[in-house]
Amino acid sequence: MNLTSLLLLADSRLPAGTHAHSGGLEAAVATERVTDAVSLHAFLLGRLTTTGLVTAAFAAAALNPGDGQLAVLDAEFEARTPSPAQRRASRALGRQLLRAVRAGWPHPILDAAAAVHRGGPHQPIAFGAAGAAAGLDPLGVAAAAALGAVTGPASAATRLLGIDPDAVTAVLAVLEPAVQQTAAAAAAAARGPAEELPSPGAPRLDISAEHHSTWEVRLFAS
Amino acid sequence: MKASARLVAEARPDGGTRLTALAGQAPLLLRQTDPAWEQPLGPEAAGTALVHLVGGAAGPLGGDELRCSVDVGPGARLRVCSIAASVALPGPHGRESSLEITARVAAGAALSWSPQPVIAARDAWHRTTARVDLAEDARLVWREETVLGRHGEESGSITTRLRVHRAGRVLLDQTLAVGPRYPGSLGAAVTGADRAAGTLVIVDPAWAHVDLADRLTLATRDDAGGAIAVLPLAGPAVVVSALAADGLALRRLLDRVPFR
Repeated sequence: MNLTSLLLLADSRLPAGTHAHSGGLEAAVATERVTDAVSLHAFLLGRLTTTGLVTAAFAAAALNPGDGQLAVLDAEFEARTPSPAQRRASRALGRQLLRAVRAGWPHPILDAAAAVHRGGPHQPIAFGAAGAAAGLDPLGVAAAAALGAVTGPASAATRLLGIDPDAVTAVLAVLEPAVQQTAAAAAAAARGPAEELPSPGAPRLDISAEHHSTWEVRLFAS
Repeated sequence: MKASARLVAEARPDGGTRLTALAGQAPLLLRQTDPAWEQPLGPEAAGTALVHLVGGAAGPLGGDELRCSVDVGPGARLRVCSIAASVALPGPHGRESSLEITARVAAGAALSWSPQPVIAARDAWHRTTARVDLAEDARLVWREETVLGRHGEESGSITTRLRVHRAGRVLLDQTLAVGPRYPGSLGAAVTGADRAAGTLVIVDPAWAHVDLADRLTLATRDDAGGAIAVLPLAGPAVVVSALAADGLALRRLLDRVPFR
């Protein structure tokens, strides 16, 4: 596997739009459910083991899709995303990621991913396709996707909570073994049928995503 | 303990519904009950057969393997309730208990699955897996309530997975995994400080051409009484998701939804 490509795809500076999303953290901070490093850790661990696991498993499964399989994966991911606000955010991120990646790694799988849905593919489908274009392996893609599920909200935390960025880095370091476990579980699940891919949900994230989408003033798109 | 239950409902020529199979073993005993029991009777109740799960034993206990199969034939209408909450308890050998539900709802038929909550007692380890196959014009109301621990008690670990297919295509696949075996679940992304989580899944083919926002309106709330949101799916269905401090508050939230 190409390590430099993996680092590039996992880099938050890739212009894929993730900086505009807090992964539900903005709503959790506004309702004072996350107030400090301890509650941030609990929030991120919950996000990692639910939506993070699902995202990583679908990204790994989208890496080597069979014929027509990307559309099947997109429909399965849609069924695992009951919140319309999260579905919109996921497709917007999928479109932006494909656009960014096409510039660097033009590949037919990116066109196949773009064609799965008129609104663009869900983000993990696009991420798996990007990984295929960049020559990554399933564990690498799953690790990057799982890590992205916590680093996005973590960087939002420094703005939303006003806590020391070093404290946020410490939280991420504590989460690192859980990120590895999640990536391994996701890569293993990706070898099985799409129907059996994991589907753990996060009710609080679902509920607050709908509430957050109605706010008139917000820092983050989701 | 291994136990299974089977329930088959068929439409009668007069528009009613009769049960052609109603068999169960403790703790999955089934009894047909009089729909007039449930007040108030809506127009939907006419022609609907009502069945109650009456328990018949403690549990599920760790190690139990329970199966329940439900068939609602073309045009039939079935509602399944339960007499009391079930309390998932740890077993003697530290094993997981499981309940596997499969339901098929045929053309023009309707299923309402509305049991009382499952309470995950301390140290319990339970998994419910439900698979529902709907014909394209079938209707479904599926209610799940999970309470994390009995009063003043730590939660056990419980996983509930619901997968719904409509006309052969996946509509919803949702798992709730909470408790000490799922360390992230008690943080503010999943259940946080709340001790009761519920979902109400409503599939109504009449919504196929109705805008997401117009299918079911419910004042969203997030306060001391709990939090609730309506999540319209891409298909003709909505998921109502709610979290509350306890089972009673959760019930009050979900009872505001005008579907049963």
